[in-house]
Amino acid sequence: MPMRTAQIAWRNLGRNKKRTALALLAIAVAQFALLATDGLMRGYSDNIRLAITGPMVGHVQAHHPNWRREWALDLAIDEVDRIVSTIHEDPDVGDVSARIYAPVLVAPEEDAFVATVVGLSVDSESNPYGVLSGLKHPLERGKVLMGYRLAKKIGAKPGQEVAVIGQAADGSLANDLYIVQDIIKCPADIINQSGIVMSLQDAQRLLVMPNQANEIVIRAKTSGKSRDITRRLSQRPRFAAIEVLPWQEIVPELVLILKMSDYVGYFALVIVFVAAIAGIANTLMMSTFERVHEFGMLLALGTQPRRIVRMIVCEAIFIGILGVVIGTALGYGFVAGTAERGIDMASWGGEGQVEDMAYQGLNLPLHIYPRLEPVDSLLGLIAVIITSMAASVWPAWIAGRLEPVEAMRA
Amino acid sequence: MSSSILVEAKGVTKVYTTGKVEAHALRGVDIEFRVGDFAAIVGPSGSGKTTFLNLVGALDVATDGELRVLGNDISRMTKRQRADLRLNSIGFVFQAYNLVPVLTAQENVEFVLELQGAGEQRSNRAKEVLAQLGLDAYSSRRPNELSGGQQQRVAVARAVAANPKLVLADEPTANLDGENSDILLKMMRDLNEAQGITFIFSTHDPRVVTYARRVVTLVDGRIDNDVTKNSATSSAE
Repeated sequence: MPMRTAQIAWRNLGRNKKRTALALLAIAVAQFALLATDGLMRGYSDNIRLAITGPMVGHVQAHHPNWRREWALDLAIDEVDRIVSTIHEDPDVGDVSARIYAPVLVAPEEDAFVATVVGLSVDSESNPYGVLSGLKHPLERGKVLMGYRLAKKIGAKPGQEVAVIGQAADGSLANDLYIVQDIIKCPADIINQSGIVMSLQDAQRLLVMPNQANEIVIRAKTSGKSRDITRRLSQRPRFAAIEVLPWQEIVPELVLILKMSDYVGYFALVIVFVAAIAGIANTLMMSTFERVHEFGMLLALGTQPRRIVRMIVCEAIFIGILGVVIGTALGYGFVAGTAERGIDMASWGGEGQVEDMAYQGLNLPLHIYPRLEPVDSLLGLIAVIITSMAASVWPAWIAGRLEPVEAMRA
Repeated sequence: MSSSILVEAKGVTKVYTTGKVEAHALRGVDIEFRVGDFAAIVGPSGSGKTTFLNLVGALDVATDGELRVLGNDISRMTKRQRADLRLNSIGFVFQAYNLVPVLTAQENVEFVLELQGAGEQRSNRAKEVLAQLGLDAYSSRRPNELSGGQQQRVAVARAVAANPKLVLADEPTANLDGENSDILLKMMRDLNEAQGITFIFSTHDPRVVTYARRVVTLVDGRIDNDVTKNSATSSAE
């Protein structure tokens, strides 16, 4: 494209500054909205993904084949120590935690309340993304952690002794006293609501499950490896009688929510398209009709119509790119300004009214840390360039069909 | 056609149709313009001056008759060929200056040279022509920073920068005061005499008639009079 065409197009943007500014504003606001929405949705997706693959579900799980259907205590994996050792041999595996879940009654004093014993591998769960990560003091043998909602309901406090009563795997009475070491809040809603968390060894002893566990939670070293790990473990002879599943198959409903958050992004993208088309098309139409005489003069001088068309398309693209740049700066500014502290969307529901959202046993925090990826701004840029060109088609078509004599009479 | 003839019109007719109404702007015009002519086309409003200039400038096509400009039969040319003819061989000076408002005086002159595909030398050529027309001090100004007279001189510079054989000027002094009109006309006559560029004006301005060496009078779309000053001849139709 000859330089002069682009130069004229660029300078033409300054001829009606207010109109150009309005068009820029429309595009910038649309791009800002796109990035802000993308940032929030990515932050929310991160919360969901971390809640799933972090403390609660992990990247891969292993169970007795009937465990997920029946949740019966005796549907356990035997020789857990050897199974865990085998899992650790996989190069992509980070942490492995064996767990036991058992319905019990917990009695702080005279009254008893329904609760769930969650026995888990303390060392593994104390690592980042484990249920016990962030705990000031490691969970001690003979002590339990209590979910904050359960503690609130039964009035339990740290240091208090509670009785735990239930049925062991062999049908005998499970009964013992434990000291509440601390009250915890974690992304696993089952723990917040009813959890009595103890070490795997304490749970095995209480529930008579020697070297057994109901569930083995595997966290990969890096995300995206869940299906590879699943495939490799499933091929090992030791896992012939064990069901191994990636997190996507364990909680498909949450995978759907993640996909929905992507769709919200696409919806925002459509808004960018529409706003950009409206802003640019209006500006170009007005500008074209005002300059019919000038186009006539250019045609009279021997300018080919396609050059005038190129000039109009150039103007549209310049407005689009400039608007996107402004919107991107605003969008990144918004995300950068809120990324560290996050946005507490729970507070929008009123002070103390809403905390987190629980779904499928997972506690999904509503404190969102917006985050963007380079592709987010690129999508807006591509969308606006395409729509800019589309918006210029009509005015360019009008300009391209002008006859010099008639145009100069305008 | 003799090689010295730039424009040759035979029975040129132009009819504008608006709905069922036909308006005859030109009615069988026969005329020739030769290399080096400095001619004014005069006549009352609606006599067909601008229409004739538009046809000669390949901006429009005659309804009937034959019009050859620089050897090209205008009615047989495509839109693109006519644009190329205008770009490469004809300069235009319009009544309302018609400069590109976002370009400086020099850029306006360079613009036409760039359209022609001139390379880096276009900048020097633009400066040279602007200096020739006394505009070197204004080359970096945009049209809205120039007076009407200066703008029209820039328009002339743009018209002659590409060394056209023919310059068509439609009411070039209509928006100028007497002093600026004289300056402009003198410059165009100097260009005509020094470089042999043929000028054809349409005008109401008696000053243009004073400077012109040939005066063609159009009345109701017909040539009423055609006078060359040093050897006056009359051809009433």
